[in-house]
Amino acid sequence: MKRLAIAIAFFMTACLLCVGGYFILKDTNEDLDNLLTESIACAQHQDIQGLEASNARLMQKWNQSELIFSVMLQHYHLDDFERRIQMLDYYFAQGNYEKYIETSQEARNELTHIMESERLSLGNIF
Amino acid sequence: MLITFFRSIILYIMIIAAVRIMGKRQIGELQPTELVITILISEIAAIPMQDNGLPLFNSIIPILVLVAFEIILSVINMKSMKFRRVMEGNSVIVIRDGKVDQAALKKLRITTDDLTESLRQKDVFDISDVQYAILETNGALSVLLKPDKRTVTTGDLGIPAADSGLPCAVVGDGVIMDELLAECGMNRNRLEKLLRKKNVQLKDVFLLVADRTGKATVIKKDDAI
Repeated sequence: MKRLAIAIAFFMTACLLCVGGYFILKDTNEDLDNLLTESIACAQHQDIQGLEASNARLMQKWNQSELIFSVMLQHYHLDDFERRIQMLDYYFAQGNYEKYIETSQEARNELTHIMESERLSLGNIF
Repeated sequence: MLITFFRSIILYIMIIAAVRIMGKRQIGELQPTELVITILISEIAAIPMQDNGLPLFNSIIPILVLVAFEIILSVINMKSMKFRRVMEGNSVIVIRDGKVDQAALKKLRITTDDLTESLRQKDVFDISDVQYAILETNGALSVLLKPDKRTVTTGDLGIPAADSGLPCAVVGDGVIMDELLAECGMNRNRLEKLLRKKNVQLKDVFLLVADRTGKATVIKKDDAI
């Protein structure tokens, strides 16, 4: 019975890690996506002050989220995304808003792809 | 490289814990499903040990799930005969009353070479000495020799044999194994008397094996000799 209890505990731990991890990833993903969308809107309207604030929040959110992403995702998924996020700061400093928008959109696409890969579906399972 | 070092330690601890929790069996005694799980767990652990790009959870979660399922299935196995038959199959008699069941061997895809090799591993070099041979579900061959080929026992000769109980290693590397002392009918006082009688100190003992009759074998440490 003791061993059975341990088995059930292991199984529940695995389930909690998976389910909990998925929802944490989903929330983090959504937050980053919203911040990217906000940044894109500011860049499109040439709202420099808004973009500066939005970009700062985005970088802060990424610094907080990096650990979560590293623990849950394969690193090759993250490498491209991380590079794009780091380039955003550069493009903002250069005043290159066109590249900023383009890179932000690519980062958003990457986030969508990450969540699609983690979604529970027959295609992903097989 | 330090990352690889720490990941290896974590995964090593996980594997040891998983194997301990799954229970005690020798590799040769594992059922096919248990062998598959054991190999799977080691493979799953090996991949993130080598590839730092894979999260440790990619190993931890499958190991937890596999161990959980293995234990749950083994509990069901114990409770349900039907389930056990499905998972493990049946033992098959391949030699019955001295006659080789060729149909059974063919069904099991066992060649004569396999059969004679398994018999030799049981120290049986003449197949005509075998009364029964049973192929167990884990692939091992159990052999019952013909009565005139079996080892003689004291019971056969009518000689009363003393029951010495279970010989236990009560001291290992100078340390007393209290849990085994009771097993062989000893206690610390008797152990100390025994050591005095053998003129040896506890710290100098490499191994001390004793049984209920008081018979003891003491091996001293090399540097104490």
